[in-house]
Amino acid sequence: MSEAPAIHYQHGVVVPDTRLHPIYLVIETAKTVRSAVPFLVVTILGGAPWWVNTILVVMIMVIAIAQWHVKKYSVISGVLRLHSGLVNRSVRVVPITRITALEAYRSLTQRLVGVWGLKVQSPGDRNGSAVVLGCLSGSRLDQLRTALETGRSPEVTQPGQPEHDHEPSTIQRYLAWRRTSSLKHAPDVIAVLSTRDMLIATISNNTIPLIFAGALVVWFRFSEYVPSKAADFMQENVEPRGIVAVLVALVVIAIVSGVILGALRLTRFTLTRDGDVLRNSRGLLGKQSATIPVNRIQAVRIVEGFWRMLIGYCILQVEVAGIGPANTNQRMLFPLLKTARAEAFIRRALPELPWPTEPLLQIPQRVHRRYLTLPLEYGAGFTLLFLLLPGWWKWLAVLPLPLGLALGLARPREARWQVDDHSVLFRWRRLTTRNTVIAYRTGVQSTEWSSSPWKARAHVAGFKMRFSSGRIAKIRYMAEDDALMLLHVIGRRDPGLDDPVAPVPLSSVAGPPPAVRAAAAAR
Amino acid sequence: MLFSGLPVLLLFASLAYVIPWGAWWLRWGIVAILAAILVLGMIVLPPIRYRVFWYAISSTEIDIQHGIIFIKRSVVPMHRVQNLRTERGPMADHYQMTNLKIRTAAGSVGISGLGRIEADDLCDRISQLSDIADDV
Repeated sequence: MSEAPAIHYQHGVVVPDTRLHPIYLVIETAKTVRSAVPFLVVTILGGAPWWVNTILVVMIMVIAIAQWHVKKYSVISGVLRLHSGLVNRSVRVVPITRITALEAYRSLTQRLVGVWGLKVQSPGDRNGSAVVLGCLSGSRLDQLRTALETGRSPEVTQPGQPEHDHEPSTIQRYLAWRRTSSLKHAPDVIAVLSTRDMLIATISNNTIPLIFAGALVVWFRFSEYVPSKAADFMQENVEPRGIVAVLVALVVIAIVSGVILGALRLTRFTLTRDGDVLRNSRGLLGKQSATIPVNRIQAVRIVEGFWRMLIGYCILQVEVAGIGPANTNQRMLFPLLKTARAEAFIRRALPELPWPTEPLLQIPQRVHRRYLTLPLEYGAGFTLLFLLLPGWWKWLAVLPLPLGLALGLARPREARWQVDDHSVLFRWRRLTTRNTVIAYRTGVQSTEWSSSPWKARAHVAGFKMRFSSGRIAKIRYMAEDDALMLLHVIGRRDPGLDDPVAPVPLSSVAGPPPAVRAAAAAR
Repeated sequence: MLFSGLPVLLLFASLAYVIPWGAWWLRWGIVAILAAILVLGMIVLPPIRYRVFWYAISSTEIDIQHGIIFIKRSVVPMHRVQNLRTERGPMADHYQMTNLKIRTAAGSVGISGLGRIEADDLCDRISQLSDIADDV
């Protein structure tokens, strides 16, 4: 993995203390009204005098204005600061060298009033963003992104200024992409999600089964809370045709809802390679765009869900510090493509990412039967549980053991790994999803080897590597020697070389390092 | 073991006292078994943990093994260390003990029950060894 290019930030004030766009007042007032709804319900329904409600509304407005007044951001000497809080004052400090991704987004409301939001990601913010700025005008967004991406004030890259380099800088390309500047060399559009692929992506993801399950529960248990028109339609036109008609209607509702949600999220998903960053933009009503510096990407993950694998499709995700398990949309490299095209696609979008040159290694045959243990144990447990169910439901007990057996046989056949001087590749199956991770060998945060008396007796061990996104790649059972070798070669770099991220050549690693083993027992 | 087991034992003892379920000997028998397991765990587990736990520090990585039956060995490359944190409560402070947490961008690994001086030395050493450019 190449070292992140040093940002030579401009000392002094790059962006002075700046308040958010005044439209933030409207959004903040709406938020405050939402949190004050219980009070308003009590005062209005309780018949309180008009002046009580007036005072409440005035207080809400005053709080919103005060919050807008104290919320300020600045970029000074390479550090982004966000001051906020009315009673509990807080100052968020993020050195710009620690920023791993910037995501500009626009909800429908923001789009209507012409403002943008910006999320700033840094390592360790796995469930959110270090800083979220809700309302920025287009020019302020450009100014801030320029400051955060280059460490300099936007004057350095203002449109119209003579260019010293032949190649436009990343931020110049960004400004052209935002249409606030013009540029001869447009960013390289890697791919745009077609409508057909968008529909396949929405139909084959987990949303539709979840909506269907929710619709089943709502209709059969809480139908009195369904809006009267919908309930009347179901009772008069669908229910008389029998239970199958009801189920079909609920499936149709789930598919339509799933497609609408998917379209809102994925329409016109576009991936562009823009110098040393990848950008994606998406969304039907609201628009979201994410910027990921290429040198912050530690791995690419190919995810083949059950239905998608059957039709030969997969999705691509990236592992970046600060974009953790909760940030599904931000870590998306591309939401759907043919699995056969995945390698060519990744090589085009990220030509820097090394791939193992040797063929992938399989799990030894003697280890295969270890994979049967856990699924069969779970299968036996669920079989016993299902046998306790009343009536015909107990026939469900015939399913868990065959499914467990199928999983136990499939997992070792699909598990693969390979490691070389620059890259590491892991492929493994979870329950229904097959994952393939291609990572820089030095890009892993930590590694873990696991064993137990039973594993040790069979010379088997598990191996897991963790990325700065907080996500993992693992092979549950593999040959113990291989796991030990991986434990010490993945993530290490050669301290003797000038390049601080140069990996240690595999040939020089013969086993565990001559570590100073200070056993706790010896203390 | 004491801190994690005692609340459970107290919960079961309270339930046995408050809820008149089953014969008294059955209720208090369950509590007695739990208490026996807790005491046994307090006597037997610490020496075993003490024997099987080890850590190693080299110029390139931190290597930690823990677990009695299910053994886990974690390796943290030295350049991935983001920050270090030492913790000690009043009881640990009394016995000059300290817990050390080594944090990376992907999470943390801990070394528990270090002597205070040893923990400080370890912190200094890891800080010096990890003070190189980071590329998360």
